[in-house]
Amino acid sequence: MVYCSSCGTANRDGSRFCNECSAKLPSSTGVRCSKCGTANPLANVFCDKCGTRLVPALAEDASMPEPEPPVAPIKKGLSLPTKPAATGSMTPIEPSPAASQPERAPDWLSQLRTASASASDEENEAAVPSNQSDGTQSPDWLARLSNSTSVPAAVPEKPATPVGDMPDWTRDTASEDQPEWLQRIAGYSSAEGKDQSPAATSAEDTLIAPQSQPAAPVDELPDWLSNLGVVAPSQLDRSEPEPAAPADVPDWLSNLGVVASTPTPGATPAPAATPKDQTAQPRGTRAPSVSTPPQEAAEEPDWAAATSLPGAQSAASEDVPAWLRDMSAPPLTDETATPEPTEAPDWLKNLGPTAAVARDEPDWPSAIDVPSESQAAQPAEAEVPDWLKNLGAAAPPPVAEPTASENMPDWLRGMRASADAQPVAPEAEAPDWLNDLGSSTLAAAAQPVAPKEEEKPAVPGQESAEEAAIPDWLRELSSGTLPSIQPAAPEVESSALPDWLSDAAAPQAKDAQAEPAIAIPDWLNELAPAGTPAVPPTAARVEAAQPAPAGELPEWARNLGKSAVPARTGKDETLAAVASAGLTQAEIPAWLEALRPTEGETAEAAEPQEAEKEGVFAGISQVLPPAAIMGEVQGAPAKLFIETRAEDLARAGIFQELLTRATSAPTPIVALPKRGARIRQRALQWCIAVLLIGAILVPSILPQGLGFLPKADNLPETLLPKSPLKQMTSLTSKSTVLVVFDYDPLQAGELDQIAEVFLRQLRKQNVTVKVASLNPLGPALADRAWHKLDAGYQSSDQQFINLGYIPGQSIGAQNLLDQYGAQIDLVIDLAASPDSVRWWAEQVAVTQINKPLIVGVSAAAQTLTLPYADSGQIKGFVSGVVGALAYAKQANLLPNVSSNEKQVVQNQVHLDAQNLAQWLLAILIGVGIISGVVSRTGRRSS
Amino acid sequence: MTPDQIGVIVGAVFTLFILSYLIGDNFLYRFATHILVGAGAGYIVAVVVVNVFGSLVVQPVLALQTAGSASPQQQPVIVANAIVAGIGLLLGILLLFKLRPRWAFVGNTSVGYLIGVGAAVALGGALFGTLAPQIEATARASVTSTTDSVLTVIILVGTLFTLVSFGFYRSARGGIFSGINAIGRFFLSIALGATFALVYVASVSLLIERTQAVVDALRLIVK
Repeated sequence: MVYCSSCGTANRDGSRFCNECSAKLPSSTGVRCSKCGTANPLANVFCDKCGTRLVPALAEDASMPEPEPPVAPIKKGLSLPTKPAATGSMTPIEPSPAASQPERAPDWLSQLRTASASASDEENEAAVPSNQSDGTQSPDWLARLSNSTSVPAAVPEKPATPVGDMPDWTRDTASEDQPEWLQRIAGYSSAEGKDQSPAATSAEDTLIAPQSQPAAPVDELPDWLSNLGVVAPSQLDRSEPEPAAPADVPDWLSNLGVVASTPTPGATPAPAATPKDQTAQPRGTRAPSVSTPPQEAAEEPDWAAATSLPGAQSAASEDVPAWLRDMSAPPLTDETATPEPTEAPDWLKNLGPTAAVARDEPDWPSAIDVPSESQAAQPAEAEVPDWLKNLGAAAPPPVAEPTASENMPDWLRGMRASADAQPVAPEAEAPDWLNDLGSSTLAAAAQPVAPKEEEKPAVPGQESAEEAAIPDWLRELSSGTLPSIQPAAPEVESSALPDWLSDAAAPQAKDAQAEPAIAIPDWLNELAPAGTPAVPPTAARVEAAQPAPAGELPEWARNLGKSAVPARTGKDETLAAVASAGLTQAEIPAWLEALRPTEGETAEAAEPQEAEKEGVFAGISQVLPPAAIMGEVQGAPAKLFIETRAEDLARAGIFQELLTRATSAPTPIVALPKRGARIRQRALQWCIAVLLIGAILVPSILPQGLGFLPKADNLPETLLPKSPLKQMTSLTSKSTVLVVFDYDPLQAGELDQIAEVFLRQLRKQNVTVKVASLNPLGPALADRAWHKLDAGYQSSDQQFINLGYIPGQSIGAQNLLDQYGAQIDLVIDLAASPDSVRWWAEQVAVTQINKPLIVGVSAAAQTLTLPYADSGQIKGFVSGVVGALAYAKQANLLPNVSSNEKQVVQNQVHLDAQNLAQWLLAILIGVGIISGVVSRTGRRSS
Repeated sequence: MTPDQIGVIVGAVFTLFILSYLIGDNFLYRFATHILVGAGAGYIVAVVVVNVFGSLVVQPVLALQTAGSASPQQQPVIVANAIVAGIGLLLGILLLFKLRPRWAFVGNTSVGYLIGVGAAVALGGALFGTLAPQIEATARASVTSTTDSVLTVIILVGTLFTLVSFGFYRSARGGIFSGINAIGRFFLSIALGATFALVYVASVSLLIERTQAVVDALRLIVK
């Protein structure tokens, strides 16, 4: 923030005018472009307007007391935290004369190197005394740190100078042996406090503003850094102090570890530090790095330098952010600066849970070490950013920390939470890449580093220039998000590892003294399939730094998941690269090995499978053939098809057609005869009709009749099979005869002749006639027949009684017989059908009225009723017109010519017509039979 | 022209319409057929209503009103006839439920009564009026003369073989049943031929009567 000089309003950085009073703000609050003069925010690396790099301009603008001549690219030392309090506006401290001696390595670093060299020898357990013996060359604070390891309850003898919010480690580093840049930081811290040094004001414009930037919220972090932050705590939590044996770590994890831990390919393999060696080292001092070629480090981006191993970086000074260089500066070891814990910033206080144990050492190592030691609880999570909350959420809830630090930075709190949440597991369970990360750091620390001539401590002026080149996000990260964690070594050969990362690794490695390993985080364990054992112990495979990928965003950080895939696919190349880099191949865990496709499977999988062309899976590829499976289970496939014959299929087709045919009446198939046949058939019909009609009309035309035909008055008695004359003549005037007219008008032309004969005789004998009928039309015919007789004969009403229609057929006949059986003397049935005769014959026999039955039937019913006459059930039987005439002649009922000539003529005409027609028919039948036989014989002969 | 003469003329015309079937199915034939069927149906309905419903149902019931004035001997008869008529009326009404399938079961009683009574009467008549007398008549066949004896044997053989030929078994070639079947079918053919001839005789009689009716009609018209 930029405060207005007139009204005091806080304005945003880079503002040119006050938002409250519009007063012009100092131009120093922004970075003015050297090319276009545009004032850019301090966080800008490049000009917003013209794109000119602002870092050199910032370096030039930086008011340094004594600009140092440009020096050759120096080896960056271990990046150490230089993070002041978030709210504290630190002033730069005066560069220490000691810091201006580039050829002189800090004492503590020398001790570290010595210890590391001794740590490479597994049998060398005398490293601790050697370190301790070399404590004279190390800074005092470091010496105290070393002592504090063995004597935790070291209490500073001198009262701490109030330095305000200055971190402890900065107060501790206020020593004459400090490098210049570190002294400047110390002075900056003290100046912000109550003990401001003159140098604080000199560098105020350059350092205050950047470092006074409030901690950037996590949301403002770049994505890659957020992603890095997600991974980094886990990585930090899993960093192992000692090299792990080759383990079953997946390749992608190994590669990831390689990428993360090997920023420089040409790094010299460093012996892994053993726990024994680490026990001799003071806490928080295990962040030496391995020297790397400067030309490779120069290509390394800032982020890589910040995230890579400290010792693997040797970047150009202009490319290295100042804050990183500040972090790489040796920490101030001011023995006199033993500030009161209460005066330290809150977050730093919170970071120092073990301050009571070792107040001489900086708080940040203690804060970092606390989780690893599993002795501290987790601070309140109120200020924890979301991503860290999420990260920490995967872990069990932290244990209440005795020294709960409310002001502790969120990210660190989350990291601690993660670290606390992780149960202390043996080292073997840590993945390789984490081991590599930790081991590489430790290896770098353990590697004996010989001071090189070109390695120079950071020049104050140059440091300032480099600090000016720090991007805002890094500056914010370094100032606020990443508080000072670890006291920087005076100078390390080359290291650009961010403080938080290196510090996180270093304390963890140190903590391995008590804790053999760190448990694998949950998120990593979740990747493993169920039932899979934890990741086996890994070995420290990375003994040398690997080159970091080019570009601002690391691939592994951008997409960790994707980084594993190429490591898989390019297995041989990766293995070769790893082997060339001195890495040992990790042993792939069983569960991950099971997931790795073989080359054959890969080839098969690569082959495009054809989609199903038919069936329910049509269009779907990769469908298991069910037939094969069924065949395996059930053996040979069953015969699914039935052999069918063609005729069976035809029948099935016809049946199907019948089923599907619309329900309608079948069309009658009429075989139409040929035209000639039809004509012949029609001609035959007409011929027969004409003959019949002619035969019928001839007697009418010839009233004298035909001489060869029998006469009506000369009919033979044989025409009457059973004459009813006896029964009829037995009737008297008191007798009652039941005459049943069971015929309809259709048969009236024939039966009326018979009825007339019987009725005439009954009237002649003055017999009471009761007429009934089983046919509804019978009563009318009876009346007509009776009244026809009245033409010359007047009858009384009592002689003729029409009972009408008797329903029920046989029942009616029985009912009628039952009702009138006793009253009648004779039953005459005039029937056109044999059924009616049967009914009456049966009912007469059943009712046992013992009355005679005379039947006058149609000629068509003669054959079926004659048996009843033969059996005696019918006492008289008259059939047809010829039979009626025969009976009339027998009963002497025919009119004579004298009395009724017309009737005589009609009877004779009728008889002649009947005979003639019958003869004609007989001739036609005979001709037909003969013609048929002849035609058949002719066809056979032909 | 008297109604009888008109009736003769109309009858003759319709006869000609029927005989027009010789040239095929035509309107005159159908018209005459429809008139004959319609007039016959209408007449049947009238006869049934008057002779059956009116005489056998309504009159006995109405006779109850005059039963008091009837003689003491006739009163029980009138009441009995009324009861029988009432039962018949009830059964007839129940038959009307057959018009609706939902209530058709109500008329089952009437139908059952009719079928039961009719079957009983028919069965009794068949047994004691046809079968038994025919068997007895066959058994009493006269063998006094040679002709009668031959005829009796022929009738017996023909009856038995005809009955056997109607048996539901497969005719065997060359077996005894084959000859029996053939003889039975022969007798059957003779019977059917005689029946056909007699039907033809009856038909010729009807044709003669109709022809004479036409001739009479023509004479009436000519006159």
